[in-house]
Amino acid sequence: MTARPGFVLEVDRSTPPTLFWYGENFRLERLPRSSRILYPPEPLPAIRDVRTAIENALDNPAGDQKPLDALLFPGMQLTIAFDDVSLPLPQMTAPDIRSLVIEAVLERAAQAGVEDVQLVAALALHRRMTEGELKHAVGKRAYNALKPRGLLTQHDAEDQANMLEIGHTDQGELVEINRRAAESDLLVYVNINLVSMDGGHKSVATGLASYASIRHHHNVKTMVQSRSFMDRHSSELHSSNWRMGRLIKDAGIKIFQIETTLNTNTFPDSFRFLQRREWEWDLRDRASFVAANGALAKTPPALARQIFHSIRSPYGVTGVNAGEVEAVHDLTLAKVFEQQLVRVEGQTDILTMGLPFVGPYNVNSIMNPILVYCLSLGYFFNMYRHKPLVRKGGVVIISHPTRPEFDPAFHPSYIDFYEQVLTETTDPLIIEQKYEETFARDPWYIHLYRTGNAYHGVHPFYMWYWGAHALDHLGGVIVMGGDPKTVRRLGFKPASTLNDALEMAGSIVGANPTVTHLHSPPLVMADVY
Amino acid sequence: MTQSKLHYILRRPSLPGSYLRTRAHSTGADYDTAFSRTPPARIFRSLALEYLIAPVTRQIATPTLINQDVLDTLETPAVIVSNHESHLDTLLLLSVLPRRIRERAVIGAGADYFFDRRTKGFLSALLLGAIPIERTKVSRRSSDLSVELLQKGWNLILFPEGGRTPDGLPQELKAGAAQVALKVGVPILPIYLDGTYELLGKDNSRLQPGKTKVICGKPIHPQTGMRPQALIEVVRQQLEVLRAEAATDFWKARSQPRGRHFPPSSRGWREVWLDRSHRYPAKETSSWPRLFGSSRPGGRD
Repeated sequence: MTARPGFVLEVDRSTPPTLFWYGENFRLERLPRSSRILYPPEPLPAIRDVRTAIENALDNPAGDQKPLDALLFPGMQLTIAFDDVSLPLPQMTAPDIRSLVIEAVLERAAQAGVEDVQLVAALALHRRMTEGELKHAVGKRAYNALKPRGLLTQHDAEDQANMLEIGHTDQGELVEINRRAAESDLLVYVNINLVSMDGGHKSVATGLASYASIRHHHNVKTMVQSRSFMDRHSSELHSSNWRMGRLIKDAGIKIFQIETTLNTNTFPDSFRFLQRREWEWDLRDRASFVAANGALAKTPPALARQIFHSIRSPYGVTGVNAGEVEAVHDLTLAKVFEQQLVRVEGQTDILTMGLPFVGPYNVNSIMNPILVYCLSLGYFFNMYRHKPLVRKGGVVIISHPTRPEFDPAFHPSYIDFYEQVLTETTDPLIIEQKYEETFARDPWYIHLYRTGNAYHGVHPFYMWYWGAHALDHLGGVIVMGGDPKTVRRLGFKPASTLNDALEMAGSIVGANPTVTHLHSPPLVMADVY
Repeated sequence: MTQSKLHYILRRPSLPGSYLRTRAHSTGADYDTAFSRTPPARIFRSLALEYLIAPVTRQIATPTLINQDVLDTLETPAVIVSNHESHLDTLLLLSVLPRRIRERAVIGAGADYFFDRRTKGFLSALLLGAIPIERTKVSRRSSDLSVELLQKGWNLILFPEGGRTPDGLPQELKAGAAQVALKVGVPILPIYLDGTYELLGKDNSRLQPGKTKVICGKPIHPQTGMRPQALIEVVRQQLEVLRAEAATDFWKARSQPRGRHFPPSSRGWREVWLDRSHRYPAKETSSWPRLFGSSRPGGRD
């Protein structure tokens, strides 16, 4: 059966209440009449035989690149880098697509007599993955063969001895990446392109880079000029990464990029109502919703979080492309847009969105207030092409409990950012100028990043810059059902119900505002004309 | 009287570190396991194995026993030798051996690991029938005890690699087992265990249930005048064939015996990758209950 395309629904009196994520729970809300709801296309049909698709991709590379077998030879140095735990969301059912690709590459390397192989998790400034996460990502076979020999490593952006300066771009941006990757005869990069922001030159130029290199594009100026960073051709973040990527290529570093795309089959059968449109919920879906909603409301947040984070998504693989970076990425983007893009006519005054329990930076962890800010104003707001879904000076209404909870092991610098920086100012420019350097160079945060499972000290700053374009564009942000004190700390306004939030928004955008809801799950991207 | 004073009165003072401990001889290779072969201990072990250890092991390791008839007709006492991939190996062997062999079997266990503390030694001896084998230095005590037990009619289970494999690949065999079998004149039976490394390898902290194979070889009857090295070489050759059979099938293992040496000539990542490929079939299934859709075999819709 072919997947039904996405569409924009206009709310009328017979439209059933709409599902909003509310952290580790959901809400059903009645949107005002004439509001619009963006429904994403249904999950695209998955490739039945993924292993054969991978073999085909390795044998028939895109762009100016030889088949993988022709690039492997005895005595060579091979490095295989792969995306870290921030993708996909939630983690996919075993086998993870990365593990299938890595196994296929290792199989060929073994047959070709390649002795010197190393796997590198492309962490950039993210936290180190746990052993269980690594095993899931690369697969048990690769883990058991490589880990005991120290051949499965995680990129360390603070290990200066293992970084190699490639040079500067024509814009003066420093390019410095993992020495092992740079000095290898071949660097194979295995990615998962969940959204259009991922992949391309960003994989190596960011994933394997140092802080000194990443700061050239992870800053307020670049983010404000990325409109949006989900649209590569209008994104300064990507332009910078592309400049760096081309410099890496010109330096003679041979990259064999393997990009994979997934459909939006995000939730298993027990949560199938999340995948369906509300008017199509049958008796089982309605009963499941009521049972889940009621039970989760009475469940302590920590337990609800554990339940949700144990979900494994039955994603289907929709594409595997390999070869030269830019040619591969064009094919990948076409597939991502086919899955997520919905055409929308005109902007809106008020944009509503429900935030889920997980974002890229809190896998198996707590969605702290800074990540709530980043997921809403960074990711969901930027899920557009051409124009933002909400007009200049418009309002975004978020549904999330926004509790002041932090994970001290994964997000230590976030706690200090929340307590020390946000109490002073929420202006990204001032934050960048005044505080970034101190946090980025803090030896304790660096120690935790290198030896524990902590995000780099500078990471909360990047989260804040991620929302800089939205902050610049919006007239206000209201959090429905959020902890008032926490919401105010973020510079937002709290509201207890959707009606209250709409009333408050009305005072900013004027009477009779237009309302658009970004329906999630699953992921949807607006193509605004 | 305060709690700390009461504690002081009731607790025996600890011995100074430099003081020569009179009980020090009772750990390691000198641990006395005679109690574990008394009738009450044997009845207890028999019940524990029959109703707890063996069923749980079979559930976790789902063994496929190949050449069971060898075990049914095995002359006892005998020395049973096996490759060593995991702590599960002992349990797996005990769970597949016929009761007549199992209930009169002792297991050679590393004295430095299983008998380093009295409680550990007591439990190993009581539950598994373990006897301490000295691995770190030359000692006659272990071999004397083994010979004595074989002469008394006990079967002896040994892992001649001397320890678990660090990477899943087999290690060099030591001749101790052959020496003991020659001395007493009992048959030696090689058994190949396949798959326990993936379930609980040396570096794995978490048990991963899965499937295993137990393949019995042919009993080797030592000839008089044979040297231990020659006998262990016969054992090694059998294990090499059984190892190939675990990865392929009976016919291929014997008709195309190339490639899977026991132990392999080198131990790089390629050897592990190519050697263990049969342990990772394209479609993975797990017998372990996992919630929220995680038991689905692949990312398909």
